[in-house]
This record gives sequence, structure tokens and C-alpha cells, in this order.
Amino acid sequence: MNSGVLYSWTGTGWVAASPAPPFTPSSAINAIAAVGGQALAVLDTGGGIHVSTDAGQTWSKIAGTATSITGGGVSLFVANSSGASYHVNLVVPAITTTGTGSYANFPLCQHPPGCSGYTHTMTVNSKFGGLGGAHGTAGATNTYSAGAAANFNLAVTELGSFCDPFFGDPSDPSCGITWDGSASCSAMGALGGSSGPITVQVEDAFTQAYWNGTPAPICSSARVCSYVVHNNCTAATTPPDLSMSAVISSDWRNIATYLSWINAAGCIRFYTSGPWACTTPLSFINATNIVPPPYECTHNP
Amino acid sequence: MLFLKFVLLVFGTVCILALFTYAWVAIRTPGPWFVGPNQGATGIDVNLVSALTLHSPLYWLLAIAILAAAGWLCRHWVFLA
Repeated sequence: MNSGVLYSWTGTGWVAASPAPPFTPSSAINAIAAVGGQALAVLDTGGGIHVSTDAGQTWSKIAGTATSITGGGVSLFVANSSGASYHVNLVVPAITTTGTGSYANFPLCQHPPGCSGYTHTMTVNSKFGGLGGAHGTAGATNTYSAGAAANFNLAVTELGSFCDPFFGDPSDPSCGITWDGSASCSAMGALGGSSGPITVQVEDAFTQAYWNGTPAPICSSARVCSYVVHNNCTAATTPPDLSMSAVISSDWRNIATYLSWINAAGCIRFYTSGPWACTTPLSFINATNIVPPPYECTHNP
Repeated sequence: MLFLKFVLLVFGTVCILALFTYAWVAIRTPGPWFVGPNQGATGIDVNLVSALTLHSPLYWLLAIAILAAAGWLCRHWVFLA
């Protein structure tokens, strides 16, 4: 590089690089660096940093300025006027979240052509932890709405701009990824979704539920009765993780007009939030004809 | 070691019998065995457990089969090993 012109070696002599770079290269010492035969990094007269991965055929200007430069590719380093050196992170991790499907994927909406007259919306999100990625801590989101019969095929990619996997700490929270996808119907609300990283959570869930005399229980000839019940939890623990709809119990007709049970079940979910799936609860009667106060039910939304 | 094996076997047998009883009762009552996230659950009053189990010959047959298996394991793994 001489007099603001970039030269290349032909094997027998130096000729001006062709095509000429779309900037004026600096003539300062340490204003050019190269790795291998393809990766070039050149400073312009204003300190701007230009990199090429195809031996100068095309150039990209990256953010920031520098007074000297060395290396290239993933191992490009620059120094500022104070002499502080930085690793220029040209290779960052990326996460792409995709969402595909149609009304036929949702068990509650399998009647072609879906929920006719209504709209389905699908949202996918990719993000990095810590300082976030190119789109900040909220990550990149892609949302698409269309008629209920539409097929969805969404994708969104986020770059981990603050994650330096080569010269930084790979365990940095800024290198941690999270993905999320969901679908909803304008008529039915949430249709389903998933998010990650996948974790498994297990808990013992307890919910108090009552039968207040109506409707009358449905009893078999063996006097085993099914009671329609309602949850009886404090406001702070509503909705409970284990939601009750009925209890199978003895025949309490002509004996009780109000029954209350504490119901216990094992529950599991595969994410850190969202609804639980529970085993068949065991019910322990805790009040007959007496209304107990609301119970601190298990509540981990 | 023999005593520890025996205690482990007794504990395991009790756990298996309890799980079997729970599964038996859950199967015998209406509603899904495993309740999904958006469904209301149907509970089983524990007072009904005896009524749903003790009067069933098939339950006793299976329970005795579990106890027999435990007895065989006790003989071959605990005392003859």
C-alpha cells in the first residue's frame, strides 16, 4: 500500500489491486493485515475498518475506528490511538427459530378449513441472554397473521453480537440462547407453543375444591358418585396448577350439601413457565357442610 | 449386607404395591389418567380406594402376583446370592 493505493502481488511484481477498493486506504504503518490468501483487513484514511474475505474482490465496512490493525477473519485485532487493543468479532453465533404448521396441527381446530372467518397468528422469537444480540435483549421477533386456513412458515434469526466464542468467554450469558414460538386464534385464544431451552419441572400440586350441593352427583348402583367441583384457592394462588373439575367419592346424598376436598397430584411441565400436566389426583375430604376458607393452592405459573 | 438387601426389597415391594393400587384406582375411575394442561382434573376420594380394590378378585390376583415375585426375589437375591 502506497500513496493511498492498494497493491497486490502477481508473482512477478506489484500491481494496483483490481478492483480498486471503494475507500482510500491509509498509508500509515500497520494499516493493513492479512491472513491466508483471502482474509484482508485495511484501515482507511479516517481510521475506518474494512474487511474482505475474497482477497479484495468485495469489501465490508465494520463499525468503529482504529489506528492499527492485525490478523484477519476470526482473529482480527485492532488498536485505538491510546494503544488499547480489541478483538474484532467478525464471526458471531446465530440462532434461528422456525415455526410451521396450519390449522390441522391444532387438535381443537381440525375442521377444514380451520376456524373459518377467523385469523391465526404465529410468532417466533430468537434471543441471546446477557447484553442480548443484534436486536437487543428482547431479541428478534417475527409475527405473521393470516386466515385460519393458511399454512404458516416463519423463521427469525438473531445474531449474538456480544458473544465472542473465540477470544471471549463462551459461558458468558450473552452467548446463552433462548427460543420461543406460539400460535393463537382470534376466536379461541392460544393454540399452542413451545420455548426453550427445554427444562423439565416436576412438583406436587395441591388444590382445594368444593361441591356446593348443585348439580346433583351422578351415582352408580355401587353408590360411587361423581361430584362437579370448583377450585377454592386464595386470590394469590389462582389459577392453581392443578385445576379440578370433578371428584369421585362416596354417596353423600341426604347427608351433606357442601363437600370440600384437598386434591393432590404429581405435575410436570417441560418449560420454565406455562401450564402443568398432572396425574389423576387423590382427594382427601376436609370439610362436610362447613365452608372452609380459601386454600393456598400450589401456584407456579 | 443381607439385612440391607432385605430392607430394600421390602421397601421396593411396598412402593410397587402402592403404585399398582394407585394405577388400578385411576384406571377404574372415569376421566383421563393423565390430565393435560387445559383440562379439569377428576380426583378420586381416598375413602373409595378400599371399595375399588378389596372387592375385586383381579386386583387381589395381581397383588398376590407382585408379592410372589417379591418372595422369589427375596429367596434368590437376598438369601441365596
